[in-house]
Amino acid sequence: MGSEACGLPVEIENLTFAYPGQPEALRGLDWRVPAGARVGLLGASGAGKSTLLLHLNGILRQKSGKIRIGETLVEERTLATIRRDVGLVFQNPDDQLFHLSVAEDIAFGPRNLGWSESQVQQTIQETATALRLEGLLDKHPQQLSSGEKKRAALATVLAMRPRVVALDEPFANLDPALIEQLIGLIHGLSATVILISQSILPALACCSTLAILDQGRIAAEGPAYEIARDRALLGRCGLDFHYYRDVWRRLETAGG
Amino acid sequence: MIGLRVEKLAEGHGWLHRRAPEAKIAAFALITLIILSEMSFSVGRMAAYAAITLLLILSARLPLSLFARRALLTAPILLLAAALPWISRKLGESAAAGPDPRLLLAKGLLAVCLLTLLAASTRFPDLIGGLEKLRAPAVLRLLAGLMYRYVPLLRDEWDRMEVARRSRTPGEPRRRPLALIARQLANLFLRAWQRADRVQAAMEARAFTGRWPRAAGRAFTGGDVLFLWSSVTLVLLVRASEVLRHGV
Repeated sequence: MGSEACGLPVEIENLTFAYPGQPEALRGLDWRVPAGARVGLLGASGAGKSTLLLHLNGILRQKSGKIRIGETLVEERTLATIRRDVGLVFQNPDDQLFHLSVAEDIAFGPRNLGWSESQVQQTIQETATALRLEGLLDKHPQQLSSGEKKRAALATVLAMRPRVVALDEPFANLDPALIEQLIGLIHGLSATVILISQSILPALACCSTLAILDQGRIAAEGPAYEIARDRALLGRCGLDFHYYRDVWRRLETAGG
Repeated sequence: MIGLRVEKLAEGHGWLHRRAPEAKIAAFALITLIILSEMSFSVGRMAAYAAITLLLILSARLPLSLFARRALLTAPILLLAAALPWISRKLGESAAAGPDPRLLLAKGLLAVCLLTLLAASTRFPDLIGGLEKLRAPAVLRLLAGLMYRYVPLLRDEWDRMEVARRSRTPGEPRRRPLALIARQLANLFLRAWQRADRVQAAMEARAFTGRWPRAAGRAFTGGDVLFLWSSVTLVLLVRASEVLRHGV
């Protein structure tokens, strides 16, 4: 399941944003994501990841700077185009699923885009098949399990055929089996994918490039494996996951 | 939970379930209004209304226990309403004779049963679709939909707070301090507010501009016309029998 084309580039120039009465969450951020790329944006809590994500389709408006999706600048008059092209998958599926049935939730975006009812119905079926939600279309979102909710939330976005898909902490609160399932789904997307996460390991499985967001700026970017190996960088940005490896080695040594 | 049970029953396939939601909303609204227009209590007419309601319940293949439970839940309130004029007379507040308590009770119970029947024979999204076809204001539909969506979420939030509270309460107090309940309610409000913000962002992210998208509805069939016409006419005939008798 994915978009018809293979994605649009995302260009961010000198993006600055602050919530009212608070210090700047994004401080002159510059970032470029090539068309069709799979990029993981990592950062500790409060680094500005979700804030950046909300800028991608104009939910939040920047104090200064520019965001370009393909050729389109994100601004008031282009919001209709931007919201068609950029799909946001929120961290908590309960925020994303606000209808009384999964089918209605999937149909919400396409109907807002003015698609015909036959197109909407066809999209519901296609998306449900792709995300293995066929038997759940008439269910109330509250009746779904965590994994089903995550898939349903992703379906509501993919139904709009976005050319950029941004996922906010998609692996949060999922067990390892569900994480593996979700990684498979993300691999199948044919759009530009921006994956926001605090967990490096699942991001490594999905993305060829990793970027680190620290204090409102991109602190580092590069091939996923290289970034993941730079323990000093990860430690500085509050993302050191090598600790788990150390614990595992200690356990192995003790067990052996 | 009764609410969840009604939701499940609404997924049924009875004759009434298959009727167009707009026909059901219109029929039940008219029937209720006709019954509420009764000015005097008559065992015969009330029995006739009850029989029509029972016939509709049977056509939906719904369990009578659901209606009995709903009636029992609302009976104390209805009884109080029915008794108020009598209490008021006893206290010498008013010399004028109030409405017949039996009439108030019967009308209330019938209205509750009809409302339950509508809810248990129509899925909520269909009800919203029916309201849309009947040109109900969009804001009303939007609010109804969001409220319905939020009830389970609020219940979840409340349950989570309850678990947190109980896990730090040595022994369950016989009576919970009012201040504690108030604080929990305030917290619930704040959490609901934050969640509403996030839901709004999710809606806007999917190109929502404030206008609820129109959903495809089922076609209005001959069966729907027959249902609407026959049920309302039957109730109207019962109601008219009083007028005819007074005329004679």
